[in-house]
Amino acid sequence: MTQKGLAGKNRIRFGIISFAHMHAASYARALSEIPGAELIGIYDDNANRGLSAAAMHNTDYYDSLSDLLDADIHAVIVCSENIKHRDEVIQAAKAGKHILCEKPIATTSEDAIAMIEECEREGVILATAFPVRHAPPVLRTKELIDSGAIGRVIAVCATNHGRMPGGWFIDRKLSGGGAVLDHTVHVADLLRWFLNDEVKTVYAEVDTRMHDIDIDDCGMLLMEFRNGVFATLDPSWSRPTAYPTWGDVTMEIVGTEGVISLDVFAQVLVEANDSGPKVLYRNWGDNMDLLLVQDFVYAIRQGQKPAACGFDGLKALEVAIAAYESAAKGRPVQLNLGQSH
Amino acid sequence: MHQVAIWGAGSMGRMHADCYRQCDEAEVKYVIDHDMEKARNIAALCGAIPQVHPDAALEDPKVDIVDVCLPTYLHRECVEKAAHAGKHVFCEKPIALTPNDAKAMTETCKQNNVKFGIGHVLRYFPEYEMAHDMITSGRLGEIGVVRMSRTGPFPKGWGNWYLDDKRSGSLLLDLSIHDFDFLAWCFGDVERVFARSVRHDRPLEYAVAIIRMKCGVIAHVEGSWAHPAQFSYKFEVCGSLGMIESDSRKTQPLTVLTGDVNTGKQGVAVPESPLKDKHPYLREIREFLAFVDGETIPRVTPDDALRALEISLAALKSAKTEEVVQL
Repeated sequence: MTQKGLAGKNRIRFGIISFAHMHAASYARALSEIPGAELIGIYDDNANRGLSAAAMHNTDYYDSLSDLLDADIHAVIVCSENIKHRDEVIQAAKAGKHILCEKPIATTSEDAIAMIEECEREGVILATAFPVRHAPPVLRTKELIDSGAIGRVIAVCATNHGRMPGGWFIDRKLSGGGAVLDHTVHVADLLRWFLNDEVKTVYAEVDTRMHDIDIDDCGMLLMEFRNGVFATLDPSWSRPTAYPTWGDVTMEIVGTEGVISLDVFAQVLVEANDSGPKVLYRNWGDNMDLLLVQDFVYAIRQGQKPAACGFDGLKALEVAIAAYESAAKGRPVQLNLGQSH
Repeated sequence: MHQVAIWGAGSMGRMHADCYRQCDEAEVKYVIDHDMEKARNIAALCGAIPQVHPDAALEDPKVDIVDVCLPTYLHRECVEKAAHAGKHVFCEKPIALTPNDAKAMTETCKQNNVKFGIGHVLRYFPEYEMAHDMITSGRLGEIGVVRMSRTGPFPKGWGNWYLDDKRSGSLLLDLSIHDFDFLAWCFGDVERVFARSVRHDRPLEYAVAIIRMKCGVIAHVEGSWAHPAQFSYKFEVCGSLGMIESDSRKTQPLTVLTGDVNTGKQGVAVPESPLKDKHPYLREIREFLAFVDGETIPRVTPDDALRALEISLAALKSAKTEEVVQL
């Protein structure tokens, strides 16, 4: 994909549905940087948040989702609280808009399936926002695995650590789950893509141990794929605010002929500054949110599938849901193997 | 002056010989190995007598300590021989391949009134000791998640004993037992384990275990004999007030770079982390000597070694049955 290919044609006009998720600001900036895209307006059920976001990104605020969908737009980016994804995505699909939906795609498989089916019926693209797929170190890892650089992959040890985000993320009625839901989907998606395979069983420990909150803040998963590869994941909100960065995505990928150590966010400067409270990692790597939105714009323009579609969002969600089920039952849980794409 | 017989002239025998050399209160009198060449090499380091049979050392009344540095499957037989000969025994980890053996060895030492020490040296590594102290002091708050990792190439041993489960017990028993012992040291007993391991004929072995401690801590243990690189180890401990992390690859104060300066052809970078009084093997042996002298109880008891072994066996059972194993 090149910037040149996007220029010179009609711009793809976007609406953003809600700024509840902090990634909305990053996507709005991405839209302003992509020559072939344009942000037309923002709908938010929280008027204050919507108005200030609209002012910040120099666009219009809509206090009704129908009004935004009636505006002259081609596509929407949904960044509302997880629980609202279903209704908003379905409404947008019915209005004929292409949709990029923040992860997790939904909070239940039923919701995700309903969203996917509605988008298929309406002939609109449903993409799931898995920006890490677009990070160049991740793309290079995929290329190395596919080229056989480490032989056949036999096991993976992964982390996706973060800070406890607070706000609606820790309100089960809005988020549907805590750290395990929030952070399992990214790595589950990368693993499915890297291994070109589906998760067969999930075992997990899930708990709330580090914060005084009513939702899980830590966990540990062991996923086994159909081909026998196993992978562990630590999705915990275990980074103190004093830590130099928000968290990480790391993978130790063990193959029959070697190992790939991946630390997606390692491209940083270390800053110590007396005007600030602590040492900080300043990332100088590529902006994966920008790359994600570019991919979505390209998919719309070319009528192609985006890197991660609704089905990918569903399969990643199923892993997180199985993790909660496993923790509740105290044993590994089989995933529904009937679906394929 | 303690007189020591080192039984087993592999890499651990060499390490222990070097440590005794730095102890004023002990000297190595014999180095025993069925391979005379190996016994001779290590004996030469410390002015000891090389032997292919243990009898001379066990019958020598001046020898009061036998240090067993043999493959795990030989531990019980040799520890008991030494105990019956009235020698205090220091034995490399893992204590044995089965709890039965471990208990029998401990009992034999007790009956013969000799001291019995086990080389769970990780507890003497300064960074692990510091972590233990920070965890138990409450400085990090309530601990939520702990990650332990130990990775390196497949080990070379005499007769490839690491390849044979019946002799080494495999990676979860030989390598990850370090981390299992550390978890038990810091957090007490284990509630349940879920583990997976995989092998390949390169040879390589790789294993992971998810552990729930009785106190509620969730732990992840990674062990690898699949990393074609310098051995490295790391851990992180995350609590309600703070976290600590340590990575041996990032704490090497010096690295030797060699190669051809003229052609720019790459050589191998060899990092080192030299320690003097804090050298873990030296501290472990000094503490054992003080134990023999009746001055202290070592931080690792045979019961601790048994508990670590039981965690390893539970992980092995889980990897084999693909089920959760309760302890």
